[in-house]
Amino acid sequence: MKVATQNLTKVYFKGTPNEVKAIKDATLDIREGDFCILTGPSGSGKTTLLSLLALLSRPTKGRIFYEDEEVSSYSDAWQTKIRKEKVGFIFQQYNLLPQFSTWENVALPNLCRQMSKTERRSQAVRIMQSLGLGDRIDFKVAHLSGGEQQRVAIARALVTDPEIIFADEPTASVDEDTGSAIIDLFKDLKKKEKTLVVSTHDNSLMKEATLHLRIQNGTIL
Amino acid sequence: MKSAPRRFQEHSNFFEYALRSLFTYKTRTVAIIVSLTIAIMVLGSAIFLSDGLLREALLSVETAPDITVQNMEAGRVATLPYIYAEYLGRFLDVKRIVPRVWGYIYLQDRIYTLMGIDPSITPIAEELGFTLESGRFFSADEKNVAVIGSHVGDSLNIKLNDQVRIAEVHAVYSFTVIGIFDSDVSLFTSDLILIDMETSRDFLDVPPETATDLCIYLDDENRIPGTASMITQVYPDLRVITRESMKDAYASTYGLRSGYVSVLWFICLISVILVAWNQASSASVEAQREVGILKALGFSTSNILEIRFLETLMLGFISASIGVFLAIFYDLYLGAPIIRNFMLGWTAIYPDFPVPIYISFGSLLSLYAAAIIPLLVGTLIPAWKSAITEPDVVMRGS
Repeated sequence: MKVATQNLTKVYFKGTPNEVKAIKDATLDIREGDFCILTGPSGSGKTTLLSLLALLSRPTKGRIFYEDEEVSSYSDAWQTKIRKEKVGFIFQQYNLLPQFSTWENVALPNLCRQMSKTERRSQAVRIMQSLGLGDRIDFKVAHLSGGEQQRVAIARALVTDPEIIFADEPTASVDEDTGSAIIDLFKDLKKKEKTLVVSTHDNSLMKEATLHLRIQNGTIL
Repeated sequence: MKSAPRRFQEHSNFFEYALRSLFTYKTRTVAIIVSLTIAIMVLGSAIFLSDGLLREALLSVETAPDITVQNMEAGRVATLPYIYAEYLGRFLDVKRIVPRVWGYIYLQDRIYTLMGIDPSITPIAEELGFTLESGRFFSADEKNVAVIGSHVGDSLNIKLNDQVRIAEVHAVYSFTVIGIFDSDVSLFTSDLILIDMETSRDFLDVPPETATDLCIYLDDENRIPGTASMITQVYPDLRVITRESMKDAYASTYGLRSGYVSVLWFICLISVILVAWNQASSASVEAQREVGILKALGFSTSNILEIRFLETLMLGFISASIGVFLAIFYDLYLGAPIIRNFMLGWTAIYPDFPVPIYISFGSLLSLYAAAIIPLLVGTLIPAWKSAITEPDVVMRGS
């Protein structure tokens, strides 16, 4: 799935003394199957741009296009539907729910689909095994290491087989081995022609990029 | 086409999610259930008791005479000469006039109602609407026999065919119990000892040819207000009590006591609102973040509200059910200690009176609504506000 933006701007706390212009007039074009890497210093606006592109946040100005269709003006219900059907998001802070086991976290996006518990579990187990989490299926997420939690978050983003995957610094807080495994996973996804938009400082990931966007002070360079 | 279970799978998943949330946050869940249960129990026991008293009172009015007249002397009730029966019998529409003699007696430190009737002019079952649990009513020629209320039997440990003895300064009277009341109007027959007119007159010092009151039955019930008004005009010294005025008196009596119920309603609602408010505010950061994550994963606003709705419904339903069960247990099996003093208002007279309770669909509905609705409002509004906010903003908690 291709994604594009036109003069995308995001201002936080608009009209207050704390006003922050996080993204300024960003215009970009990510083609279907692109492996787009987003780099930039901390606080440059990478996470904000990913949130905007994944429809987790509304732009203050400008437009977002999915397959040439302007989706930024869609209602909340339609944007939710698009997220449900087409988007996978890997959060930097994992955002797992502690009350659920590992497999239940992975299967969470399928809870709002007509899938039975058995189906949800078998699908989650399959993807967890592919990510080396086969022996952590019934663990509480709080009992997992940071690297394992990141892999659970990745598994959750992939469980619905989304057309486009956004990842916010997926290798930032994991050990070297986990980082390599995650990079391999992204390579596989690239081979499957999934559209990937990843913010990272990791050089190994940058090597795989088909599109490299650099962002500084909210401006795409 | 999807099969039926398939179609409901999503809702079943949400139910599972809601149930899991309740078990996960055990302390919060238990605290809410305990608070709501106590509030519903206190309110429920008062409502059931209040409804029971009102129902008993209204049932008693159903069997009351159309008009009852009493003689007033210097503002006090005095005996009424039989001659009045002749005078009042001349009024249009008067079908029958029945004299009654009644008063109160002390037996083993408790007060009971003693009533004397003449079965030759008062067909007990038909006119008074009383029925028996066991035994029979006495006939006109029978003396030294009594029909007693079930509570009299229980408290004095008297059974059918036993002797009941009542004493006054000059004499001791002994009666054989030949019947025990089993009336719907249990509140008003429970403490009753029914004996023949002549003996009751002796015991209560009611002079011959007089009665405590006269019960007037009319041919046409629609004529009650008119006849009562005429009696008042012609005999201003008589107190005239119609069935309607008895209803009014009960309504005002129980209306007054319902004040307790109103206060309890108020306290209960405040408690539930506080619980709901606490639920809404204490869970805000945690719950908002959860809503943000769910939204980011593709859950719609209605999906999130459904989850929260199910969660709250389970909490409220469980609390209300336990509260109602405990209220029934408190009223029926424990005899509503503490609250009965407020509700009955005559504890000195009837210390061991079995409390009448009545559980109506309306009161149950009110109790469940009181437990569930404020909690729903306290939960759904914050959840809805989070759900319609951008997921990014909600997850950041800004």
